[in-house]
Amino acid sequence: MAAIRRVLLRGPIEDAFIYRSSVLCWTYSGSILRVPVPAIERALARDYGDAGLAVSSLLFHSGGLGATAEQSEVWWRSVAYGSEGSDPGAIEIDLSTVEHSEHRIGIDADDVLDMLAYADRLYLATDGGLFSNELSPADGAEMERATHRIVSPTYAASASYGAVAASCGEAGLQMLFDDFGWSGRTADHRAQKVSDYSVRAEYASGRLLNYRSRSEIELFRGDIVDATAPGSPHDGRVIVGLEASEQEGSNLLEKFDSGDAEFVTSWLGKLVVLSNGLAMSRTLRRHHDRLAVQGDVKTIGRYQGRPVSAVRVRDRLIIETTEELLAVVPSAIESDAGYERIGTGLVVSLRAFPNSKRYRDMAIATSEDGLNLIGIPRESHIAV
Amino acid sequence: MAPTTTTTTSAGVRIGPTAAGNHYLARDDHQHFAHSARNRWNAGCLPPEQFKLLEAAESNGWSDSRAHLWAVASGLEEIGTDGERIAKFPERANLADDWHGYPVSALDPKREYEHRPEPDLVSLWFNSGLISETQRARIKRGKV
Repeated sequence: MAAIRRVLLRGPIEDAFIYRSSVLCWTYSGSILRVPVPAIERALARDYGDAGLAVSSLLFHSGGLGATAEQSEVWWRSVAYGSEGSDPGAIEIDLSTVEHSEHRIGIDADDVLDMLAYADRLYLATDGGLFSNELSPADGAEMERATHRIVSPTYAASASYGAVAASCGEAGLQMLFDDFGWSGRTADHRAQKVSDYSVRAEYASGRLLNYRSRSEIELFRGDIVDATAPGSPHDGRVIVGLEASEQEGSNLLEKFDSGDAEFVTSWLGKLVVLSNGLAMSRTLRRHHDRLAVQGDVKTIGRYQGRPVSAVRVRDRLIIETTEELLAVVPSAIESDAGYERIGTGLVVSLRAFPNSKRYRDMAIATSEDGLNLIGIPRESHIAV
Repeated sequence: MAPTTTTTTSAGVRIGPTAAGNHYLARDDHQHFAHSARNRWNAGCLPPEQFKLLEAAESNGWSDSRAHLWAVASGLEEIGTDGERIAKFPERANLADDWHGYPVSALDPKREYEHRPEPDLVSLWFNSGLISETQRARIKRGKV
């Protein structure tokens, strides 16, 4: 089993999101820090030499994409000579020693509850509503005052097909359709309420999954229109006309013993269910215009404690519980516990970036000490 | 202020008065020994400790927009049998009624918001040194 690598960026960071070449951090004092990824790489090389170069390659250059020749060489040498098999624990750099810029963007709220960067725009879900802010490609550029988009307290936000789904609890699921005007029409910046209750929402297999609780799914379907301009590098597909599906979301949970499901999520074509200490999955497929699960229930690992959230990094499931962060051990190489502890302590936020080319081997988690950058080596690395 | 007295009733232990002149009914069905699907106080948080939480909530004005009272123990100590760390004392139908209460968590099934204290209250607990920044953020995100 490949050893998980962890870098702790020590600082007062409550939440974070990695977008293009920046780590965007929300601090406990209510500001945004923009930390260039190359600055973190330089700090790792400065403080840890070859070990810093190797972990940079794993974290920020999935498959070697964009890595320097030196980073790649050190990484593959560390794999080939077996240091990969031992757990080096976390290495730590202090945020104050890493170049970054700080920005105040005028959020009129008590606290940020979720954050998301999508199509060069930052969205902040707060107890004062949803805010958005344009992101300049330049790391040090000033950030303008944020725009207040939704007034209701917003607990989670997700985006795909040019639309943002804002989960506003008892104020429902509120959608910002075609928020970038990709369809060619002038963007309508008003939110539309499509469900009366929402804890969080996910896009999966052309559907929107609205979670009415931690394990209760409400399905929505919409038409996807390809409005990509000729020659444009951007995916211009937009979702329009979202409507509740006649299909019951509970059908998806059949065979999972879902009566005791503690947490449900979808991830890269899989539906993942956490129940009674078992992490299980089935494949999601569109079948005759319905979303269906197929195949046997596969146990992908175990966990201990009360799960709060979960993300997948390639074939590893990372579970946040009320007490700690766990990486489940795939059942094929099952250890006694069925999971390994990552050692972050209590977690405030947990994210992964499966659609990113460079960051797909990484999860990030904020904890009491700061931002944890967690690298999950691919099993193929070990086969070398 | 009248001395605090404790009496046993058919529903549970009655303690009071608080400084505001109210009583607390520690209902048996919310105690650790109950065979109940209800949220239960753990064995380390007996009726006198529950009463102290109510007194703290009342005297510090930890009341939300619906007139429920909320409280936490210092350091966000565990107070419920299922890992709960937040106490809720629901609004009384009549001001003359006794308070009652139970431990809650935003992780309780289908109680994501009902069992999550309002942000202003959480900030008050942080400002008074009862909870850390991390704990404040986790409560607001419904992780406690």
